[in-house]
Parts: sequence; structure tokens; C-alpha cells
Amino acid sequence: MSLPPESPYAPLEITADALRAALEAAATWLELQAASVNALNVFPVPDGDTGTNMSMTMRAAAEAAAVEPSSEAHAVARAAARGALMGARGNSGVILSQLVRGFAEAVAGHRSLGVRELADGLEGAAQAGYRAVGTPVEGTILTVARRAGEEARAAAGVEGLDVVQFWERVLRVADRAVVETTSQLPVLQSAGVVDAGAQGYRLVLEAFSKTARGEGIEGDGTAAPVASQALVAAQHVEEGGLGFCTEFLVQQAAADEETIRAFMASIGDSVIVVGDDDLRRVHVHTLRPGQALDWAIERGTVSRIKIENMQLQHEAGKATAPGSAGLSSIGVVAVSPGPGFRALFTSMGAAAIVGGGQTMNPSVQDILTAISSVGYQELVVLPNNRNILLAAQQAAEQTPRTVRVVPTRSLPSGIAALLAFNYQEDLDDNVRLMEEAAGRAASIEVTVAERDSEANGLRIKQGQALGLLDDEIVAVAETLMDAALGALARAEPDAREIVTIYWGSGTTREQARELCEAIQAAYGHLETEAVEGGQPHYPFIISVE
Amino acid sequence: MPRIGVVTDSTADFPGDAQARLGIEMVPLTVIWDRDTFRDKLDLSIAEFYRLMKQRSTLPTTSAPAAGLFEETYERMLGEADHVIAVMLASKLSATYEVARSAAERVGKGRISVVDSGQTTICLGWLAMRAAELGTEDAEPTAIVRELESWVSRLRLYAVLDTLTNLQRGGRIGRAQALIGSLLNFKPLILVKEGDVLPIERPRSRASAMRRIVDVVASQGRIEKIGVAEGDAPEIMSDLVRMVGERVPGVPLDRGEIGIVLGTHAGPGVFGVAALLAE
Repeated sequence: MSLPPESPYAPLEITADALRAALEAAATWLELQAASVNALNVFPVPDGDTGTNMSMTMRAAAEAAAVEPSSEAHAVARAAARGALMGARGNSGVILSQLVRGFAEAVAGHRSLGVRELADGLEGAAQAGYRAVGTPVEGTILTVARRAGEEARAAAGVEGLDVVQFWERVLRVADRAVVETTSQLPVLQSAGVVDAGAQGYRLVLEAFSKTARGEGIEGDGTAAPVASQALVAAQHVEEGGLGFCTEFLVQQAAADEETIRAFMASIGDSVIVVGDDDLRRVHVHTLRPGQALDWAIERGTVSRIKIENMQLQHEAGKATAPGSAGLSSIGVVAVSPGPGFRALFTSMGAAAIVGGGQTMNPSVQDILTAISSVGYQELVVLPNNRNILLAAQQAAEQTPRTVRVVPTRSLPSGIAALLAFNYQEDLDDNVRLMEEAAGRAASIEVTVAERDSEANGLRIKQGQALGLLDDEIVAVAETLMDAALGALARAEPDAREIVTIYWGSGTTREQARELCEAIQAAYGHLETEAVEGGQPHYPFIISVE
Repeated sequence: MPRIGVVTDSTADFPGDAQARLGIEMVPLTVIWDRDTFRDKLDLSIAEFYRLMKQRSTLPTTSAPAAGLFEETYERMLGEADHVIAVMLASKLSATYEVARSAAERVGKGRISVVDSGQTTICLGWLAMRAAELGTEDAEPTAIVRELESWVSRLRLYAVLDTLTNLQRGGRIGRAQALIGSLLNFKPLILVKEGDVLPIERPRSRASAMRRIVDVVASQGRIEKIGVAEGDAPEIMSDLVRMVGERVPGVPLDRGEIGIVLGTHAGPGVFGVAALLAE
């Protein structure tokens, strides 16, 4: 047999053994690439681990082919088709199994496969794929299968083409078809990725091509790790719109995953770090993207930097967001002092925050501005201080939107009200639920006496710790902790379930933790949680529910 | 009159021995975890599964049954039945329905009807039971499917999770992602309705979550069927059953225990109340 001179070792046909080897290579190649294919899932897809599903399906095909005793290629193909069908997982796996089945049917009767039979097989695969799907969509695995089949047919017509050249032509077209999926489906376009199933099928073709060239399949580490788009998208949904979404790759970082994650968490949130020691992808939301990059640049080679201003994204999203996601059409505006409580209210879904509180009451105009800054037609305002209640009611009357004020008198009652918000109920029901919750939450404030005085029959010396329960002084003690416990003892602790401690700007996390422990020692049935409130003047604000 | 066979998937939960009594076939989904593959309801109990979750650093993933498994099950069932009703886990939550549907097209010859339940656990079990009951009453397949579709629109599954993490990592969080990001802890109360996962409320404690789930169910108008299910949270069941009985009196109450596939996505300590609203 004379071989074409341009590729001296290239085979003209695929034997049964060569087909087994190619299927094995395809399974291995998909397994190696499964994580990066999984990461292409652009929205939380049901059973959406496309890479895993396709690799498991291909593995089943390869195993069935391996144990098929026949020395004829068509029998090996048929065995692979049966194996793929039995092992098919997920939508992508089922479609892949149909492609394998279509291939096997098209090459029926052939002991070995030349380029003409391979073209028959790839065309048959595409046709079976289209038949398997109720409503075929372009920009998916089907498009790649179809164009690979078309190119295979054209290549088979070229005189003297060997198998290596054949697969090169097919793979080139498949590559292009995969890249083009991004522009064919809007959802891919907006995420800037290619279709996961399309990429999976391309990997199968690539494995066949590599096998024909006599190359082994090994992980070469060139595929960039990608954070799951679904995970990233989910992180973005409830952002308060502060700071920058910052993403980059770092190669050969002189810091391990935990160290990177810890640093990024210290300057921001929504931290995702994936990949291996050679190459990691880092994602963080931070007010200071420069710090993240500077830190990484000192420790490795940084590339593919992407920084988005989330505030702008958030505002763009907000213009159309209310109602459009099928969520509640009611927005909540909360009055809050300082960054700590502001972050708390925002994290729990407040649409807008009005700065202000005990020592800095916001104006009616401030509240009106916040109301008109959000896209909601129905709103609830939480004044969170009795001195702000009237301003909130004034604002509610001066806007064409439907605004109800839930008269929360303290920050804890405001948070209790916001947490009681029901996403499925209407405005009236929500106002009722929020008022009830606000009424149930007792509010304790712990502060230090600024001068000697007398109140509620208690003699108070300057510097003593005071515990206020719903604005009344009920405990005087030498330590903040004792004042807090004294006030809690007056708040019907036996009838309560959860105590939340907000520590102030002059207080430490450690002090809050000690108070939690003291409360649990005294009242075993109470759950406690401590978060940073960052409020001035009050070392502790405590919610008792 | 046609003989009807009924098949569902392993995320369906049944009261008592209803599944065996009504001869309902079950095709298992699988949990893939490191190098292990567990068949739902067959290989591992939910309690063992959550114990394992505490030991392992990785998280499991779930997978729809293989298409071939459906083909085999259908072919076996069609040897005895004239028509098969396959009622499956919500297509918005799993590829199971799609796999079951495509397998039915390949082997069914028009003798298999696949219904998207939009549901899971007890709600899915009720649908399979209803199909089997109608089958014994000699109903035509088209009439059975029509009845099931009416039920699908009236089924509600309310659930309290310990955390949203599992739902989020598994990509099933849906619109309940509105609940994510809170700096305070709470026990998310969610609703599954026609395949959508919807946020409801954020009770702070497990006790208040129990009160609220019962309040919310009781406010849904007249209820035809009610059930409770849990995943490794048996300690709350007697209280929950009592509270549901007080607020929704006169409706027999079904109980079920979820399997490891739902356990993967709901996370430890989940409990729920299922209801079929009156027409």
C-alpha cells in the first residue's frame, strides 16, 4: 500500500481497534475538559453540568466499545451507540448519545471506515441529533454537528485525502462553528461564552483528530479555569450596587488558593477563586479593584482583567427590574445611619437607603428623593426612629406613588420588619406583616451615661453603663455587658427565640461575642447572632425577637 | 378499556405503602459524589447521606436517569400495560422530564404520555397516585393527563431550608436568589409552584419558620390534600403535624421522607408542607 507523500504515516482508514482508541480518547478528553465545559453554563441550568454529563455519556460509549469483541468497525460503533444510550445523562448526554447512534447507523456494514464512511457517519450523526430534539435550536451542539457533517461530505469528495487531513478540515470548521455559537444565541452573547454542548462535541471531534495523528490525550493545562457563570450571575443579583466586579487570571501565583481568597475577602466580597497552582481565576466585588490587582501582580502573572462598575449595572438593571423577574413589585426604603446598618438593610433587599438617624434626621425631601430614585410604584418606608416618623409620613403624601409607612421606632424593629417582607403578598398584607414583626421585636440600646442624673427611679452616675429597653432606661450597671443583660432580663426573655447584637463603632467583634456567650449561659433557649452595626454612641444595639 | 401503567422518578415521595399498593414504577435519579454514584432511594438513606456530607469536603451533584433506563422501563411496562403515564419531576428543576420524554418518543409508539409535574416530593407522589387510581377506574389516557394537568396548576410545595447554599450551588435557586446576600441568618421559606422556585419570607428562627409555613399554607383558601415531608429533620415532625392539623382541620395529612437527590439541593434539615388547592 502506498501512502500519500504529504503525510507519510497517515492512515487511509479507521479500523475497529482505531475506532475503540478514538472513543477512549474522546471520553478521556471530555473528562479532562469537563470542568471548563461545565463553567460555560450561562444560567442556572437544570442538571446543567454539561461537561460532566457529556463525559459520562462518552465514557459509557468507550467502555461498551472496548468490550465489543468484533474486529469490524461497524460493530464497535453499534456497541458504542448502545453504551452511550444506556449511559446518557442530562439533555446534552442524550443528544450526544443520539449523535453516536446516528454515526453507527450510517456506517452499518463497514469493516473499516475510510473518509467516505466517516463523512456518512458525521452526516448521520447530525441528522439523528436534529431528530432527537423537539425544537432544534441553532447555536448549539446541533449546529456544530451539522456543519461538521457538511464539511466532512465536502472533504470526502477530495481525491487522495487521508484520515488526518480529513479530521483537520472537519475540526477547523467545527472550531469556527463553536465560536459562532456566541453570536447565535442571545443568552450566550450576553455572557460572552460559547455553547457548552457545542464545545463538548468539538472536543469529541478533536479527540478523533488527535488519535488519527497518533497523539495521546493528556491534560496540557492550557484551558483557563472559568468561574461558573451561574455562580457569578447569582452573586450579582442581589448586590447593592456598590463597588466594582473585578475578575482576572493569575498564572504561577506565589500564593495558594486560601491565601488569595483570604486577601480578596479582606477587601471585598462575593469572592470566587478557582483553578490550580498554574492558573487561577479570581472574582471579587470590591470598592478598590486596584488593590486586588496590585496584590495579585506582586504574586504572579496577571491577565484577562475585567472590571465592571456594579453601581451602573445595578442602576441599569433597576430601571426595568421591578416585577419583570416575577418577584415582588413592592420596594422598601429604609432610613439608616452609618455604613454598617446601611449594608445590613441593603443585604436584606432594601431598594434604597436614606442616610440619617437619631442625631441626624433626614428631611422630607431626602426621603422623597430616595422614593423617586427607585423603579417601584408601590413602596414601604421604614423610618427606624420615632423622630423620623413624621417626615416619612409627609414624604408618603407628597408623591404620586403608593407609599406606606411602617412606623418602625428603632433599627432593630426596622430590620425585623424588613425580614418579615413577603415576596408573594400584596402591599396591604406586607404592611400588616411588617407592622406585626416590628411590634414583636424589642429593642435594647446600651450606652454610657454622659452625666449624673436620675430616671425611672434609678440613680445614674456619669460613666455608668445604661441599658434602654424600647427607649426607656431599665438597667444601670458598671459594665456594658451587665447593662445589656439587665435590659434583656426585662424584655421577657423566656418568651423570645432570637437575640441579635449589633456592635457599634467603638466596640469590637470580640466584645459582641462575649455578650453572646453570656446571653447563652443565662438563657440556653435563645439563639444569638452578632453583626457589625457600626453605629456611633451606642456600643450595642440589641434586637430581641 | 386500556390497562394503564404509571411510572415516576425517585424524587416522588409517597405516604405509607401507596407506591407498592398502586403498583407505581420508579426510575431513580443518581447522586454523583467524588468517584461514587448513588441511586436515589436505593443505595443510601437521607440520614446516612447527610452524615457523609459532614465528612466530605466536596459537594455532590445530581443527574437525571439514563435514557436507556427509561427505555427499558417503558418496554417492560408496555409488555403488560396498553398505555404508560409517566409523571416526572419539574422540567424547570431537572432534565429528567426531557430524558423521559425523548425516551418515550423512541420506544413509545404513541403509547406513553409524559407529564411535567412542575413539582417533586409529596406533590409528585400524589400525581402518580392519582394517575394510578384513575387507571384502575378505566379512565382513558387523555382524560388522566387532563386531570393531572389540572392538579399541576393547583399544587403548592412550601419548604423551609436551613440554608440557601445547596440550592444555589446546584443551580436550582431560581427567583429565590432574591433572598441571597443577607448579612443576617434566617431560615429561607420558599415555594415551588409549576416548576418555579419562589421566595416567600425570611423567618429568623426554626420555630418562627414553622409558624410561618403553617400560616402561609392556611391562608391559601380551601385545601383538598395536605402533606408534610422532611429530610433528616424527624424531631420537628410531630410539632409540624400538630400545627398543620390545627390550622387546616379536616383534611387527611400525608407524610413523606425525601431522598438524597432532593437532599443534595435542599441541604440538611429541610422540611416542607405540600398542598393541593381546591378548584
